[in-house]
Amino acid sequence: MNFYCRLQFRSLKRSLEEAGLHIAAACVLLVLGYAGLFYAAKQSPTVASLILLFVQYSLVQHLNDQDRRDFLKQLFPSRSFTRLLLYENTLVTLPLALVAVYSSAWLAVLGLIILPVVYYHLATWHISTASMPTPFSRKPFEFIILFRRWWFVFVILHMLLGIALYVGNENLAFILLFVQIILSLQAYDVVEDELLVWNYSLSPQAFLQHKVTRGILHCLLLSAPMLFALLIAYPENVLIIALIVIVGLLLLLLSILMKYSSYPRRPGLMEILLTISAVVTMILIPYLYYYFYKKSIHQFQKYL
Amino acid sequence: MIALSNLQKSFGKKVVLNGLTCQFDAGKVYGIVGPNGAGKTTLFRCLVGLEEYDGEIVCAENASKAHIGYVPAEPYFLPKITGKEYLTLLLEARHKTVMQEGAYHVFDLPLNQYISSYSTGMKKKLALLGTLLQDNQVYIFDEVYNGLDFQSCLMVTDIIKRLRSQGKLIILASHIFSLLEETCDTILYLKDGHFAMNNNQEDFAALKQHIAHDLQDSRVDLLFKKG
Repeated sequence: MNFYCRLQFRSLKRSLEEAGLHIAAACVLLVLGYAGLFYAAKQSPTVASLILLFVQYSLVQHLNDQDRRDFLKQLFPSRSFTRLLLYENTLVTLPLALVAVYSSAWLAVLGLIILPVVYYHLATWHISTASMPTPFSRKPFEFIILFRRWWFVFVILHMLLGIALYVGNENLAFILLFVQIILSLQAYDVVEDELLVWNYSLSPQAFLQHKVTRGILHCLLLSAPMLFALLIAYPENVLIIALIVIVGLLLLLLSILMKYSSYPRRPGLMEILLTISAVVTMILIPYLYYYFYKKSIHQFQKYL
Repeated sequence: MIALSNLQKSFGKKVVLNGLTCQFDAGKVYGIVGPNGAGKTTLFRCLVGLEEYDGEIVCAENASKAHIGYVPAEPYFLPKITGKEYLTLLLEARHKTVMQEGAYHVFDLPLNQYISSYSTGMKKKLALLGTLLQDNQVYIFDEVYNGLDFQSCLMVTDIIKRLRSQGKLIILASHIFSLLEETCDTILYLKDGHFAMNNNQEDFAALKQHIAHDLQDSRVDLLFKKG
């Protein structure tokens, strides 16, 4: 198992270097991010709890990948396999749980402990049953994958929204809508094989337009129940709701453009740094859209 | 339909394709054979435009990208997607619809299940079905028989023959020479970056003998103890 751990580290290091990030720089970013979490926890335990659960869910999904788990299962004896699962999940959960304890977000602590166990069983259950129906099945593929990966979180968000509406906490309700839209950005986390893009009988511009239109429509469809609930509960705040949706959709557009600007590889350090600097300086944001659009069109020339 | 003229492709200093010239005609089946790493997949990727190359590939209008169906040796599938959704994606990409619903079930695949639960052969059949439903003019199959059971191999052979009779061009690579003999009009032997042999049906036996002789390797002896 020692060699496996060393191999994991080596693989992570290679992935970071491929993205243009030295391991030392990655460590610094990790520490800064962790400190940021503590800061966020101090400012708003609710937002911090959502971030912590989101981060853990992303990592746990990776750990429970079917191929990965099958490989480990046949590699290690069952006792070592169980121990390995325990180590990995503890490694992911412990630092996040510390932040939750720091902000006294006890519900989040409970969630962080239960989630890996629930997800492990859900992942196993998925393998043996037929596919989960989604409202997007006729129009593949981004939101189908998103829905099947994150349905569990969407259910929780809707339950929380129900509670927020019941107790009349409108700020929490608005945050939940924003979180739901932000989660939609995860739909563009999967970088499809070049053959799938090659298959399209569209020009690069038309292909990008197709992706953006579909992304916006599916995001709105996914958020529709929340949107309607908020509009009915708080009709006087229609402008705030509209603003949340517009900002969310602009971020969705940005994530589509960013994904394809480096296609077929994943967005690397350069794209991430550009986005951060544009968001910090604000005035560079329009240029960022233009830059990513031009880059995406250029990347598609080979395939379309 | 497709003409290659002095096609060259290198990866760094390694020359993979070294001045290939040949003509692929409609209504014919072409087989490409060669040892592992000979450049068969690279040739296919050049043909479909996924690799940049030197030289020239001239395609007739009905052999342009929008009319080519390509099944790679290891087809890629998105995670958490069912067979039906994958087929919908491929059809939508080419603005095509399926006339007969039954066409989806030719290979008897569990289309409503996740592709990740499919066997290797089922995945291969799904990728093949996707390109067939697109109703292309040109089909490029890389190791299409790999992972298929005996019955499916027979089915694929039948499909290839029917496609040929419809005037379509089929180019396939396979290591199973007997299946190539049965389906191909011409077999090209790709070795060291060029077509070492280009044989029609009447010369297949000679080609087979030549390849067998060419690929004989005494290094296998090193795996076994002497005496």
